[in-house]
Amino acid sequence: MKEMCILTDVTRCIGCEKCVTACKELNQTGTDRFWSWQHAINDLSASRWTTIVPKPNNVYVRQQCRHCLHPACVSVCPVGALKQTPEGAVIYDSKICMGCRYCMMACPYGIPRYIWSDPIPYVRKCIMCYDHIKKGTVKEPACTAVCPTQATVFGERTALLEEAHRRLRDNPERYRFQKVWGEDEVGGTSVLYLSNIDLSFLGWKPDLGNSPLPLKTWATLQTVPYTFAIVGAAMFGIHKVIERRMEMSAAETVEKENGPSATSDHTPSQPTTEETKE
Amino acid sequence: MRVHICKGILWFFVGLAVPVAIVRFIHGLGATTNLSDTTPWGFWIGFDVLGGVALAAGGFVIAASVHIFHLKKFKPILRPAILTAFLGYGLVATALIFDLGLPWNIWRPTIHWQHHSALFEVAWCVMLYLTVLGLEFLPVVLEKLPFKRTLMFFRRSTLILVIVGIMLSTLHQSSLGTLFLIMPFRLNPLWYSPFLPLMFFISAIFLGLTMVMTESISTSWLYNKQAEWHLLEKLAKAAGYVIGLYTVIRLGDLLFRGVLTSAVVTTWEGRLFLFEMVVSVIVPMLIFLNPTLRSKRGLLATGAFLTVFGVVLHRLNVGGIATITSTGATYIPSWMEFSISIGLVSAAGLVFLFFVENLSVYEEPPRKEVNESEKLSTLFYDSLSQVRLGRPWSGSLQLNSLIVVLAIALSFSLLPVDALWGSRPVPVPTQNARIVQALVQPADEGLPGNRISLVSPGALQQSAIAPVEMLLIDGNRNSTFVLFPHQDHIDRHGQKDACKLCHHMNKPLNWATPCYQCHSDMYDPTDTFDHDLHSAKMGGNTSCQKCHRDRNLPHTKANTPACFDCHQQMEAKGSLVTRRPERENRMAPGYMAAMHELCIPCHSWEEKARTEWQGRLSLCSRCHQVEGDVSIQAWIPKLD
Repeated sequence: MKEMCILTDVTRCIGCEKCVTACKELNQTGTDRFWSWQHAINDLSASRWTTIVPKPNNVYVRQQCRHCLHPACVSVCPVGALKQTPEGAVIYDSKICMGCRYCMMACPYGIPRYIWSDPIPYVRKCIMCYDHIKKGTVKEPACTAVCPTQATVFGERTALLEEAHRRLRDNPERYRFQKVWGEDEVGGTSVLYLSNIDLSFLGWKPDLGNSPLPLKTWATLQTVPYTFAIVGAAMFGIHKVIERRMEMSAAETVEKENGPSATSDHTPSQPTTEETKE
Repeated sequence: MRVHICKGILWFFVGLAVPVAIVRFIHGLGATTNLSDTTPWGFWIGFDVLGGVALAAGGFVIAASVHIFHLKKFKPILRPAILTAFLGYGLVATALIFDLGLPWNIWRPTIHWQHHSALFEVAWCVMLYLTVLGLEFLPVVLEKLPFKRTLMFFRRSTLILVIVGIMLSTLHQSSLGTLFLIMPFRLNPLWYSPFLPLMFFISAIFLGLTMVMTESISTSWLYNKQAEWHLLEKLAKAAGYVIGLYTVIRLGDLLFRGVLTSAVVTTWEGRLFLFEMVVSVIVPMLIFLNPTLRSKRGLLATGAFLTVFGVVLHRLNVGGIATITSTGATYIPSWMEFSISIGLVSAAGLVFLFFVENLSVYEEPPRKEVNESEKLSTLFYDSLSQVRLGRPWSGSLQLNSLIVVLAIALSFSLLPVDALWGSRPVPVPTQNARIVQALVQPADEGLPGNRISLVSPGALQQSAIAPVEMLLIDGNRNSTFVLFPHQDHIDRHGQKDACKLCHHMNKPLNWATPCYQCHSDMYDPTDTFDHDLHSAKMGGNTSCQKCHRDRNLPHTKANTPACFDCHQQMEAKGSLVTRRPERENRMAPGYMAAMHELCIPCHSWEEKARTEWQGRLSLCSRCHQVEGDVSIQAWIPKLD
């Protein structure tokens, strides 16, 4: 399956917010309201899956889900409500979500939003119009289809990466940052940016690194079965060894009736308290 | 008496939590918590779940000491430890019901296996360990019931249960640390470490030990009985060693990653870290490892309390406080979040006391305290006077019921409006409209429209024309005032009936309806000029330079040729739209601009010039006869 991707060229964006309205229309996200849990009414929200962040000097940065190639949100979901499709889009199944909000904690870009106002709340974020494209009602996401300046375009990831590098080569003075944002970041994302300003404000930290985040958890999680088995075996072993030692010391002091219990209480206690520490 | 007061307080907190619990499930998390998209996990996760699980660690630590290491002398405190663990895990599970957005899906991890999720591991461990703890505690309940065979069966399977319990606890305590491994960007480096799981596990061991101490001390104080001080001293010594190991790993890890020196001195997190370390580690270690200090009961109790407090603080820090700087979020839990947490802990405490009083949890069961009022309560019927005196209300059942009812009432009265009726959006702040005086003069010769100039009240008399009252409104909520023809809007929308259109629409939170509520497309670019059509007709991507001739200049309409440069014969025969040099080449950036700048002034201007169209040309309905009518198309000149 082809890996699909969105390339946003910040230098081309005029900030008309057509992508925002088109997204709202196609996905029926509803009216924006200013809730107490938002910074601003035009912040990303459960009803606003993409938004334009205005920056000084008429620079506009479109914010949306990055559809990471190794999505942290998908890896942390305990029920698999968030799924990565073969095309690269990260989609959400509200039927099996249990609302733990771990995805919102794990996302390095802080993208997923929650319908806090609803007693039956769901996670909301850009899904690259996956369901509509799959149904065939649209050919590409609403945002890229509507963009009047082609600042944001949809296509195959390899082709768009090539195109991005071509633009950097052809027009080096246009892009102050000679890099394609999202090419390698956190293992690569399916939403790429070209920019003349620093885009590191989109993540929690300026440098998110190039290694996929799920690996950090996996390093520990893969040891779980071994830890489980080793702890079990060790506990059983220790139990048996100490039991055997106690039986032996009891046999030595067999003449005294109350002796065994008294000695067994004291002799093993010294080494074992130290063993507890581990 | 202590017990009665304590129970009263616990019942009070339980009562306080009841209304909050109800509105939490009716109106959701937004109405009751201060959680936000940047702080999706709050006090319920930090305290109830992370803290609750850690506090329940006593169960597996003491079970290991007694059954694995054969330290039979700890047997007297095994049952209370297991009971605390069981209640602790029950509390965690209940707290999760409150915290999860869709708690009815809590069982889903059992069928949707996601082995790469730390929370999946946590979920399984909670479920299994809660079961194991229940089975471990079951014999205590069965003793009171006539099921001797079942009791024997459970007694015999104790060892297996204990070992499974230890295996699950090891995984579970550490997996709570694993949860945060994926958030290196959120968590402050003083708390984030690749060894978080190990630190969670080790701190759980000494917390388990100190928690058992705390419990013994508190219950003995409550029931006025002797605590097992000789055992507690041994526990303290063991805890001291584990704390030492923890300190070495914690500080070693920080030193190795080189964040210790830089962060501690400068930031508030550094001071928080120091406080946490002093409280949870340094002071208790000094007390526990010194034989003379730990033999003093007051100090021993202090050390145990401090450790419990310190480790719970550590969990709170990891669970949220240490992420504040990186996310820039300000999260202070609402009182409703606190009340649920405290209410759950209180409920667990009440269940604990119930078990202690009715089952043989401690070797020496608490003496039944015969209350004076309870003695009196038997004399509720006076046979002499044949008067029913009624039970004195100081009986504990009546008193506690009263406390609960009062607490519920208090809590209800404290509930904010949002919690009662569901959360509502914040009104978008607008600036109040200002009434201004303006002079409306016809525009200069050759220019369309009117010239409006604002005048200061003092300058009124000198003017020849009468000033008009106009409104400056912050119509688009961007603190930029626009001149709003208030009277025009009233006239157009039916005089008196028009007021409610803007001021009393069903939008109580908007102090006045913004312009874009009606002019919904005011920001949409007009398609006066179809860029795509032009580029397609002229050859797609290769055609840009035909219009954007100088590639070094910005690609704006100012740097492109005018329409008439290409479309020489654009004016259709008989068209009313005539060429005006000053209006050429200006694509309207939006409907608002079109209406305000291009269409209306031109039409008014034309109307004056053409007497035959007098009074009709400036009417919108002249062209837009019905909504969606295509008659306007007739005016558009045909190309080609």
